[in-house]
Amino acid sequence: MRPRPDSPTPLDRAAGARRGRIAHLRRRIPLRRVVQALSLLVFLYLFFHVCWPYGSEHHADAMRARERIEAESFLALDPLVSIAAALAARAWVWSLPWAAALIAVCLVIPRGFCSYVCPLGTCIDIVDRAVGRRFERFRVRRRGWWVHLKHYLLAGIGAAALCGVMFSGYLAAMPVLTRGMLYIAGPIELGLRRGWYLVPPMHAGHFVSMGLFALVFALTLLGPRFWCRCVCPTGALLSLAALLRPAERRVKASCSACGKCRATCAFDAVGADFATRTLECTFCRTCAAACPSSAIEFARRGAAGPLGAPNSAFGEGAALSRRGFAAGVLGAGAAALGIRGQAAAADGDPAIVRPPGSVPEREFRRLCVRCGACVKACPFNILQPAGFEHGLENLWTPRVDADWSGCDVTCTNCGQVCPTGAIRALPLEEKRAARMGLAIVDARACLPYAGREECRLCENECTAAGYRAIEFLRVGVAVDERGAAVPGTGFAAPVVLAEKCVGCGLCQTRCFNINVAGKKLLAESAIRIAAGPGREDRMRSGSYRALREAEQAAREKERRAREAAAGSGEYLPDFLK
Amino acid sequence: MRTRFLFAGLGFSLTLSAAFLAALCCRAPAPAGAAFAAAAESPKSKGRVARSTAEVAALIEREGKTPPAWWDSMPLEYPPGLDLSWPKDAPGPWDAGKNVGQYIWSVINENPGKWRSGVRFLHHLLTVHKDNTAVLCKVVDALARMYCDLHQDYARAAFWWQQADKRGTLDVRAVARLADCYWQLGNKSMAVKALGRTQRYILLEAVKLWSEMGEIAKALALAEALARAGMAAEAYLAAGDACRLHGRSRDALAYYNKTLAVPAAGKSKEHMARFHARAQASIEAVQVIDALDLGRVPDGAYTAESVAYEAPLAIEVAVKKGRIESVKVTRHREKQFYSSIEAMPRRIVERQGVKGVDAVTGATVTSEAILNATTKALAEAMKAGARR
Repeated sequence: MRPRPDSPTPLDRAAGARRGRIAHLRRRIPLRRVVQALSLLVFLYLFFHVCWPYGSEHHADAMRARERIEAESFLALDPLVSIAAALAARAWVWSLPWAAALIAVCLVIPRGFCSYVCPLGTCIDIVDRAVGRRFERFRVRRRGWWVHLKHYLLAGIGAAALCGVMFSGYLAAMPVLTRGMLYIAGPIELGLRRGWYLVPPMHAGHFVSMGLFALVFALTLLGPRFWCRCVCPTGALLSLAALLRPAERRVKASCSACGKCRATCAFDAVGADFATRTLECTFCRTCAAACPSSAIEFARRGAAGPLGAPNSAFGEGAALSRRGFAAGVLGAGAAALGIRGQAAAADGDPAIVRPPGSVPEREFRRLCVRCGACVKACPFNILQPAGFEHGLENLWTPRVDADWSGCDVTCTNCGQVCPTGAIRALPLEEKRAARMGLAIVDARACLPYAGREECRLCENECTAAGYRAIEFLRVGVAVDERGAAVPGTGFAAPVVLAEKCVGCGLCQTRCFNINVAGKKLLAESAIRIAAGPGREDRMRSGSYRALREAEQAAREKERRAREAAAGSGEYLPDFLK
Repeated sequence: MRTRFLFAGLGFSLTLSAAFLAALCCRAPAPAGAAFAAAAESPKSKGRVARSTAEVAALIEREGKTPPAWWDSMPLEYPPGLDLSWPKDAPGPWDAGKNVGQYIWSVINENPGKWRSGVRFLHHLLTVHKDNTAVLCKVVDALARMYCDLHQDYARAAFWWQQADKRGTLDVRAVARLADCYWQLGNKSMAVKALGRTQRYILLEAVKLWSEMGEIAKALALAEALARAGMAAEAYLAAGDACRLHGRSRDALAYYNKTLAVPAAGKSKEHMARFHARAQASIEAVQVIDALDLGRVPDGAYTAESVAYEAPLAIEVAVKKGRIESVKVTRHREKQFYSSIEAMPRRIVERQGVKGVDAVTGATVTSEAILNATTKALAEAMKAGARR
């Protein structure tokens, strides 16, 4: 007997049940949550695994093998990072196309990055769920000037960038997240996986950054995603894309005005009349799922149909104020000029030793977003974030601490993970030819020079690394009555060959570890890396190897000229021929 | 001017040769014969190229007059402030950037990377000073020593010392060095003849060379004389080394103990401490050397340390199927003339043992340390193998 068409077969029932379960799951775990979770996992994978520079003999190869996804993907996607860097440095930044792609996507889903992808937003969601919503009394329901703070900050960052000062790194979403993770999760990872003795000491710069990071999360007490909707300048930049949106959230006339959409919206994008504040809406569709009368649709902009209240950019209350913009622009401009002045004044100070392949210092400070990716990817922490000791303009920029560690000869990680090209991504041979600085021997301290004891640590290290930039000079030689040297007297003291030294700092590390920290013979390392004009190669483009080869050729030419002038080349003197 | 010098030189060497011949004839010929017999079974005579006097002379002449293979690839380099006139007494304090002798000592000798260009530099000085005999003497001697000590190029070293000899400007220590070159080139009689010229002096260099040539009795007699002359520590050490080279472990121990017994008077304490440390290290090595049997050393790589000039030196020796595969100096802080760092391991591998390996001339201390450390490593490996 054939079943009647309207009576479902067991198969149909099962399919229906499955559909029902999926629908149920989708209600429980909306697509957005899945994407968010994936995105956060990818971020954590990149941060903890790809940027973990240990456990291999050859760092560059190991990084290439690990880096199936670019380690700096999220930083490259943050459009404020690349745009502000390009503006400040007046230069092309490689990650601009990434940012453009993201903005193109955000034209279709305005601020979709914020609700779907941004790992900082996801972390904030988690903290809000765990903590924020338990303290209702701190919640801010009113809309005041602060709802536009992000736009003022964005204007300020733009103004500073035009003045040639990088502010975006302090506030843009991704650098805030990577830096916060670097200072909190980074040391914990290093301590647990490798040993706590490897964790460099912390300074005020670390604590300020950690404080700011904590503040981002503390803001969830004021409301869910308070940071994202009020402060985050990356969010503000993306919301500008909403001006060109082809689609938008619309409330149909069937709205029962129950207010559930308004209550569920984490971005405060639903006005008192339940219409959309279009520049705030992130297309997360939480409201649509919450709406009992299915009155919310995401439809083509300007589509016909019976509508409730009309949408507006910001909704009622708290208008954008000229004063706010003026404060943002003028404040940032003044701060930027102040910092530039300070930087100019500090140019006479000992230069900071930068990672290998860093662009010229002025441009470096403008391109560096202080994200700390290079610091995280640097094995043994030769790179450490600068604190306040080098002035505000260098805060959180990477500096080489060669007392702590030397630049590994097999490593190119810092350039590989830099999202703006402040450190150039170099092949290993190029990196080994790029000078970061020059090792300088302090003859008053150096043990052989001071006549204290035999020591060849720096030379051993340099030779083992393959640079062979240190030679010896025998000093303190005793002479007999005939003026001849007495064998075995004096010490072989190191001499740095400037044409071979790249300033990797391995010598300084060794001297510090053995003579300063271990034997306590010296107050500070007797061979130290110094940067500055003539001691380092800071180039926007071009090959460091070619530079070295050209120098070598010039020396060779000079030598030939000298030999020709000296009339040498003869093996035997005339009287023996 | 030059002729006069040549004449003087000829006269001097003639006198010496005559005296030497006379001595050889007048003194009992029997011990000389015995010495030759001993040489036949001395550890030195095995695996050594022997050359006739004519061959050695031809070799020296040929090599000496042609540049080494690397000659053309070497730059002529020296600091711009160097005073090439090389005055007799270097003025002012020690300045390796100004005074040639001090530059050679402090810069060239210190850096193996400069040894070849150092030769090139000295040849340049030969051309510069071709008419200035006084400076020329110094250049020639420095060149010979550089070939001998740094490059172990005995033919060229001998060539230049012979040039000095022809000018009558060869000092007695250099004669001993020349003798060593002849021996290294494979002609004992030439070496003995040259050493004969140094008879009037008691030279530490001669102790070592006599011992290497198998003339242990002469070496020990000379060492005793040297000890009486006030250089007891050096002399007994050299005597100990000589005995050790000839497998006379008990005598070697006795001499090393005599070194330890020399009080730290006359010399600086530091200086004597070094001799004591060397003697101590040698005693330790001798005490295990006789028991050493490579066949009982299990396969593997072994490390050990021994005192070198001032700091310990570490080696790694790899043994496979009872053969020494390689010896590597893994850590050292040696200073001058450390050509032995490469030469000694080669010699140990060539001889397949540590017994009877002679030290590199001019780098005795380092050579000894390498030898001692290798012995120690092998002995410990053997003991561990026996326990297993």
